[in-house]
Amino acid sequence: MIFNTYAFALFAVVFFPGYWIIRSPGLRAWWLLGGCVVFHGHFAGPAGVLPIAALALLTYACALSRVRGLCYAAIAACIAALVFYKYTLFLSHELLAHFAPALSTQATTLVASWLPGAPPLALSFFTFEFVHYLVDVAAGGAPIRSPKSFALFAIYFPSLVAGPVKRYQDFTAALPRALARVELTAIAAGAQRVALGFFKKILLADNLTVALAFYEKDFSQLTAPAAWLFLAALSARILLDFSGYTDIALGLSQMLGLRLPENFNYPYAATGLRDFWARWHISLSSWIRDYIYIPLGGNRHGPLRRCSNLIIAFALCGLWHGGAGHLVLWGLWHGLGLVVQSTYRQALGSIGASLGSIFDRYAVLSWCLTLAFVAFGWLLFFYPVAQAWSMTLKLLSFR
Amino acid sequence: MTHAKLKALACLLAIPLGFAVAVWLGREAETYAKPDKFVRFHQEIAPESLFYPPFSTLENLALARWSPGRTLVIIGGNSILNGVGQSEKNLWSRRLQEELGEPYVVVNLSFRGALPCEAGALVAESLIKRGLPVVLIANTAPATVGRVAGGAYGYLYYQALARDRLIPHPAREAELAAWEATATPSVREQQAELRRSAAFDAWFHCQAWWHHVGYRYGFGTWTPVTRDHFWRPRDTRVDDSPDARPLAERFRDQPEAELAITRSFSAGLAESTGPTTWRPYAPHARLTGDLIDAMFPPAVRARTIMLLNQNAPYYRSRLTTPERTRDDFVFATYEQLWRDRGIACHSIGANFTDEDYADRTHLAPSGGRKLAHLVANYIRELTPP
Repeated sequence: MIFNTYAFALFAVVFFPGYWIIRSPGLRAWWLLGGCVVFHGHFAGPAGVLPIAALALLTYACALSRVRGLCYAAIAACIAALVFYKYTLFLSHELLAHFAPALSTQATTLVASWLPGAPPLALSFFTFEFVHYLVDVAAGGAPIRSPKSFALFAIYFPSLVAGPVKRYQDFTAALPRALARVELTAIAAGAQRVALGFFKKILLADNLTVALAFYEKDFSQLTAPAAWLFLAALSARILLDFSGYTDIALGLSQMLGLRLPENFNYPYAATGLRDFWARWHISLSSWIRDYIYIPLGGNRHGPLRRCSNLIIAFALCGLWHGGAGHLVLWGLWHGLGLVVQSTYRQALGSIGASLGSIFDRYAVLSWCLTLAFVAFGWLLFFYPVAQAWSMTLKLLSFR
Repeated sequence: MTHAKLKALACLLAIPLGFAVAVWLGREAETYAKPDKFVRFHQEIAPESLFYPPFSTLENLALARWSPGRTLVIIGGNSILNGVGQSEKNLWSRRLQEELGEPYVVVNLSFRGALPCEAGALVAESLIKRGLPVVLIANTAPATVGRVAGGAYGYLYYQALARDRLIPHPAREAELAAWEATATPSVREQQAELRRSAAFDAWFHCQAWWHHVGYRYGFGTWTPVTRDHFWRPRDTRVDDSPDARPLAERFRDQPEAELAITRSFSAGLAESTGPTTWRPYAPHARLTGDLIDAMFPPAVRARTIMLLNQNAPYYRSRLTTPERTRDDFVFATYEQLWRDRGIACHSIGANFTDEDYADRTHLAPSGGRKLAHLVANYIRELTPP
């Protein structure tokens, strides 16, 4: 994580007091932009900055033209960049290997020689924000005219690394207020949230990460209670890690006077999968809803189309997390879960209706089932399919 | 001012105030913090359990025992000198202290996996710079010098450097810069982050305070080594490392792999010129010489005894005649190479028996006693009492 490095500490010590001391909104905007450029430049390096700068320029110019064709071309460029940097190896190494192993080996060698060691920092987040912006402008929204405001939207450092995924309408509306005045109470509340985030991330999640890595090696030897405790720790770990990071991002932004969208709302209290996705990584799930699920037709073309749209949207959601087969399966797991949840009452007739009424009456049952479904899903998220499967069997054997 | 604003102001004032108090406590801790009844860095007060004793702690350990008129014997090096295979009671450095007696004071600052130029060597350098009478004992394989930065103990170098504890030695800085220039971007960023951490710590003393709290009051990081009690303060942990197993049970762990290591030990260091005659592999000898020059400032070299560790006779006796002659040649050659650079150097273990070894490399208590006796003689040769 970038926020617990000494480099960031040094950056923060210089940047934040400067931001608070500067009173003129115009100067403050330049100071903020300077900070964002330094942050992005340092942590992404030249190889990470150049592709993002190129995409940002393209996105800005195409949106400013308000020509729909150009906006769609820019969307295609953003997605092509994402696929190139993040999925070419997956496509050549994992997918092609099933159909043409020899060609896969050649393609993988070739692709590996083209690609940098790691994709540009936060490329997935940049892509989602640019695509959202271009789609909304193509649909008639007003583009951001000022290059400075667009640059701030694009590389706003608190949300740069891992979100939340911002919406430009909210951001551009909130930015002038933040630049005009930062309340003392907002700074204090932001600092407290940053502290909470560090506590969750460093003291809880990072400890769990090390412990899980240790016990994972001998998972098959664990007792049944220990194996279930492992699953609980795995579920806790991802929530604490990601929500801790988000708390830091939101807190830092609050200290600048700008509130970013919330990303988590007690997701493990959800009593259904739809409820879970309304509480987990909210900025991502709402993006997927608005820019994948609804454009695919959403629930407007009958139950069969709705189910296939859900499955496609969640498979892409899984793929967005990284180029690996198990992540796609994790997305499918949730997509299928949502399909089952939305159809079982009708599909199973009277049994479905009875089951539905039981779940409605005993919310604790729905909660347990949802939690178990999500927790088993994390096995697919973190481990290769064969390992996740053997871990699942071990857990369900209760031995 | 509203209540909410007052609360916010109090919170914001508490942050720098709390930080200032922590800095003051860290500054104080740097002058006194060290493990109690210290004998060696066992696993629960070492980086294996994510406890990274700061450079100031290592210095405090050495200085707390020293008094004017005595020679400080600082033991650096790796797990062999750390005494893996010997319980705390039978530790070789205790025997060394007994052999040397009152005129010398022995402090074992070795760590598992440390290079000869790391950890203890840096403390010795710092104290030599301050004019103290110091002898450094370190060990290694014949051609392993390594670099003082980049490994698990590299943080000590950056801490010592940021506190201006080291003797100026441009060759070391040049060597490290050249190494960093060829490293991957992530390694370069790791080193830069370590430098920033050390610079930050020289001002704010966080490491001393954090490790003092971790040692005295409670630790916050889970590690496999401390998995059942990771939250407990490290001063509650005792050094319960065992003595070597009975002879009949030794040399049983992966014997083929250990024999393969023994076979390859000197393989890349000498070229054959006949059935049992050898010459040093020049590029490696040159590199070793250059690294000795770069990592050990001349003032430290003059006060250093380097021990080259032989493998256990159990494995050496299984080598072919050419392999054995190559081993002997390499040890003799590299002993001379270290000496040519101004460092007293001795091979250790050639006359030891299987009983003296806990495994392929580490010494059992009897081996520790022999080592202590030999090293005591070398120290007296270098610095007569």
